[in-house]
Amino acid sequence: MSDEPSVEIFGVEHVKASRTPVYLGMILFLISEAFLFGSLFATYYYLRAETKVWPPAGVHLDTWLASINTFILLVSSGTIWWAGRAIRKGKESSLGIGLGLTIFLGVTFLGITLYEWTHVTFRPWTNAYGSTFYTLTGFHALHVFAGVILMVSMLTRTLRHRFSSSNFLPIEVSSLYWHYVDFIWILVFTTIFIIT
Amino acid sequence: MNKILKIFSLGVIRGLLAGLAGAGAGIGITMLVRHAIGLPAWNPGPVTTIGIFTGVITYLVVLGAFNYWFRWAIGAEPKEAEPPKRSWTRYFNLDTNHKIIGVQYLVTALTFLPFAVALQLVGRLDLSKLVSPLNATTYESIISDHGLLMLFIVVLPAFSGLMNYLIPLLIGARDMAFPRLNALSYWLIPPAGLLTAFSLLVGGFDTGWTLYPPLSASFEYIGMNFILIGIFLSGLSSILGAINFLTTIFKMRAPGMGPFRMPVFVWSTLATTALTLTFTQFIGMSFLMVLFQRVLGMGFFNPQMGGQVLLYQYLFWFYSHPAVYVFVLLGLGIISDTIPVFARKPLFGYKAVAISSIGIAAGGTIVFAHHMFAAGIPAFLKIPFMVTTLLVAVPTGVKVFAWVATMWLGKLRITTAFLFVLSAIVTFLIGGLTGVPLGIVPVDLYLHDTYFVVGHFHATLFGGFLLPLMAAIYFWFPKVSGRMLSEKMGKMQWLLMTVGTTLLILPMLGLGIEGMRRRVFDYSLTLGFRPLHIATAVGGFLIFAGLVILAYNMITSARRGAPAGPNPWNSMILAWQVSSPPPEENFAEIPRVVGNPFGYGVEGSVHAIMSTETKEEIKNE
Amino acid sequence: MKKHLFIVLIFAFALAIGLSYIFLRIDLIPRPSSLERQSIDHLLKILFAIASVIFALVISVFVYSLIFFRRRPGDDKDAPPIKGYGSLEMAWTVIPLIIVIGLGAYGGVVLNDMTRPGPPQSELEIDVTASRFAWQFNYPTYGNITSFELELPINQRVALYMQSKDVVHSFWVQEFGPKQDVVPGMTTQLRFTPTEIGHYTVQCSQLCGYGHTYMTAPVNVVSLADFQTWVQAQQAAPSPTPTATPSTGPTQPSVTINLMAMNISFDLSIIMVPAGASVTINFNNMDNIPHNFAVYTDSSAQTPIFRGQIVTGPAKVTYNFTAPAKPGTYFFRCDVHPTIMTGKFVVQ
Repeated sequence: MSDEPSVEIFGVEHVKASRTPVYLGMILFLISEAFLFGSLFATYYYLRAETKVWPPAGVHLDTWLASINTFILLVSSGTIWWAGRAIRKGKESSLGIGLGLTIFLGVTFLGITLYEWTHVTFRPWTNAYGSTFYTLTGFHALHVFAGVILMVSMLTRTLRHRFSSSNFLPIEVSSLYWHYVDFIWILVFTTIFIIT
Repeated sequence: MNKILKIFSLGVIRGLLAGLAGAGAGIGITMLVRHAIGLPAWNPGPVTTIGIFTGVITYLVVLGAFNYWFRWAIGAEPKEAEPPKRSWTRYFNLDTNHKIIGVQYLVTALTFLPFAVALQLVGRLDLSKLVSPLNATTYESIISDHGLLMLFIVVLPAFSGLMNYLIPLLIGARDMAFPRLNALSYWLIPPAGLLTAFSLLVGGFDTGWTLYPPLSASFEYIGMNFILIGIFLSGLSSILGAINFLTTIFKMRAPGMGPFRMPVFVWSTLATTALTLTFTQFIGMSFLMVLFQRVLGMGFFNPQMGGQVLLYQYLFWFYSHPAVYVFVLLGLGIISDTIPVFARKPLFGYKAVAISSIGIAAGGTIVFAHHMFAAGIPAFLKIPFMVTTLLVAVPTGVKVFAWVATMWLGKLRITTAFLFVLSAIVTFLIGGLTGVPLGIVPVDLYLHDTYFVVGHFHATLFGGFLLPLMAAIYFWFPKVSGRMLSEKMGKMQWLLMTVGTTLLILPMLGLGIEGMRRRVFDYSLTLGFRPLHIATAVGGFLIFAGLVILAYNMITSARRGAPAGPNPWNSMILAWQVSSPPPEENFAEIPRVVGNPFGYGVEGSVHAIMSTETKEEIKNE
Repeated sequence: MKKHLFIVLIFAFALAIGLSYIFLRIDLIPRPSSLERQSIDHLLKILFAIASVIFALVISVFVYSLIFFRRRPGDDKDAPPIKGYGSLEMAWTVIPLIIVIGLGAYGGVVLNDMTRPGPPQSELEIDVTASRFAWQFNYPTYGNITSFELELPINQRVALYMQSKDVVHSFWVQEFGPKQDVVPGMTTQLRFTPTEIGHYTVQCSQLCGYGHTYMTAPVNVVSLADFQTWVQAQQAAPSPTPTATPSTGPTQPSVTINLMAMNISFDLSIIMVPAGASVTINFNNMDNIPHNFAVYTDSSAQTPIFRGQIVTGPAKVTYNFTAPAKPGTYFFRCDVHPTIMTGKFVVQ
């Protein structure tokens, strides 16, 4: 692993993340999670195809709120991207700020999700639509939650000076995860709130 | 007294005890919370489910599976890793060396194997009408647990064990890419196995291993919840393992080991783990959905709530069909790698065999609805799935033909390992050929849910898993332990198991054609099924006897077997170029690969250069 | 090498021809009793013949190698380094490909013939309801008569429309060929044409719980005339009357027997009555699935002496009939579970 090809970024030698085993491991993990969400999307679309009225009568979704959530996640992808650029230039404090913002946005997303869950008129045990809605948004929220924990860990390590312009591979790996979770949300949002 | 206390220093004991405590705590807290919010405190389903979750997490934490990652996450200084001491206690603790983990997986699988077989032997006695008929639920629980234990607690972990032990040694690496993840993957298996087996003690379940709702979602069998979580853990272990194997193979092959210089076992691992990485999520999710329906009242599969019964079957089989290729691809890889060593001849058509592994895996992803021809799927799906199912026969055939072509004109050495390979070939051939009638829809509409299916999959599983596993054990035991297994006992075991396999499978195929349904525990004597059932029972007992001999052989040879030396089989594969057992880091120097490992018959063909100083080569002399 | 090849190919061809001949001649699946069985049986023969050819080829090379290509003692050299042979590998990839595509096409044609709905009015429509653990049959075109037995006229294509009340079941009569799952939330269909008069059994073929093994129902294929008679009898009396035999005379002995059905068994395995007696059976069905009591001349159940009404428990019903005049050992059973619930009916 000492002869990993390296690249120069902003004047500093750095091992190209995409060539490292850890990065490949994250990619493989995300491929696996694609199948997890795939099974949930398959469930949603199959039930929708086999049901005359979908969503069932009486279901009102707050598409506005969900759109705000979409915007929040997109901004958070921006903040983590900005944080990644900062540490490439060695700006540790900017990394910390970027991470903090990302965490704040992630927690806000979760809060809004909880609000949506408590304010829709149906529950997971009301009907199959409810089961699918809560499972799909629930598993996504779980992934956001895990992402927040991951970012909190990154922030902790930043505060203890574990990252520098030549050592920030975990930030790259975590960013990949975060962007992925954002991307999955776009699919969830489109499926549940746009395609009716 | 001191010796007794020493037991508690073993990670597994601490972990299991902590797990029980955690489960108890989880149950207690759940009951308190339920009482506080006005529900009845005790409801077996939800309360035990939460207890199982808290138990498993506590167990993993106390085992130390998360220690390093936790310290890393909070930014603490990494602890100095102590050099491991060679001691048997390593096997009972969290250890990151792939060779230790490989043995842990194998021993766990081989421990559950006789239990799972014994369960089914009871079922066979019932069907032979040699004992009074079992209670219906008991019978259904036995056969269902037999299936789940065998597939998820024996086959998957046994193959994980082989892959773990062998892959770094075959590709010239020092360990797996993610050793700590590797350890976690293993330690998920003991609770998975215990939960699955334990379900029998809490009332069992009556759905077959396929757990179709509404039956699986409706009735109050706590055993069902145990199974759903137990198998979920095994699936999780599979997925984490797949991440490891794929990264290791892509990133850590010795320099010069291009794709067509890898042993076929490595190709098989690639194909298998590509499937387990991805498709396992579907069975995980389908089981979770059943669990949610049972415990939380969700309605995925409940038509009265707008759900669809067939949804489960589509999700379940989307994994479970590729899974059967997971169950056999590695065994087929073992056969492909072993014949050349004992025929002293290159593998015939190596490139085609390597690619056929990928072909079988890829083809296996588009055939799944052939389990549902009678299920009520739309007519337009049946013919395409029939065609794809039949097409998978082609790469499978390529392998079988290549094997016998390798034997042709060889110089065959009849060792126990080779004998098992031979039995595997014939058994798998029967398995493959009986798959064709099942793939043709009108014939399947007769044969579905009969013993013909049971015979078919036992033939493919014996031919693709159990017999190759026996071959692998006889082949690799010298490398793992440094000693040879007794060939005499091995040949006795081989005879018992081959005769047993034949007596088990052929009558099942006959019973199916005659119209005996599967998953029933009684039938009329006038139908003439009894002699065939007695034959399968005898076969089962012979197989079990073979396993007993294997256990005895392994235990005695580990102490008193003949010393093996580094390369008793005179194989060209990298693993046989280091000592038996291998050093902690496998290779003193990473080898440089310059040819493929099948260069038998060519004077001076080289697979790899082991050391740049001594220029020691793996040559064919 | 040429000598080896010649010998092994001769042996392989002989074995292939022998095995495939056997499979093409013998009738593998017992009791064919429908048009669909003819197609299925024929296809299966072809499949086994092809399989035996492939098996013969592989096994011949396999066995030959084991006999003639063993390492001779003292020979530590390697074997010839044959890495492959392009045209052979091509052949054994392409030929199986052609075979499986051909089989797929043939199978598709057979499937189409078997399942394609016929023109309206050409099929006898029967609605089937499956539940844990019984089958119920409804004849919508015959005034909605309901029965626990499936009565069918010979040579008439049947179209079953099936629904389940609870879990997944599966309708299968082994002698008729294909099966079809019965799925809650859907109506599934199955078509077949019985071609032999006789008694058959529906067996549930999807594990549905503890009663799955015994979830059966009788099927009677009769002539068209007998079918019409049955239909009229069903329509006239909602509780169909048992087949009555005329009573013999004032000195006729009479006997009353209490018979219970529980957990899919009778509590009596032998019933004894005087010859020609007027028999009263107080039948108590304690299961919540259908049972009945029926007497036949022998265990083949071809000639009925008495067939009682099928009742779903818990229920009590009284059966009356006259025992045969000729002493001997006859046979009684439950028609719904004909292979499990049986006994001896002894006339003295």
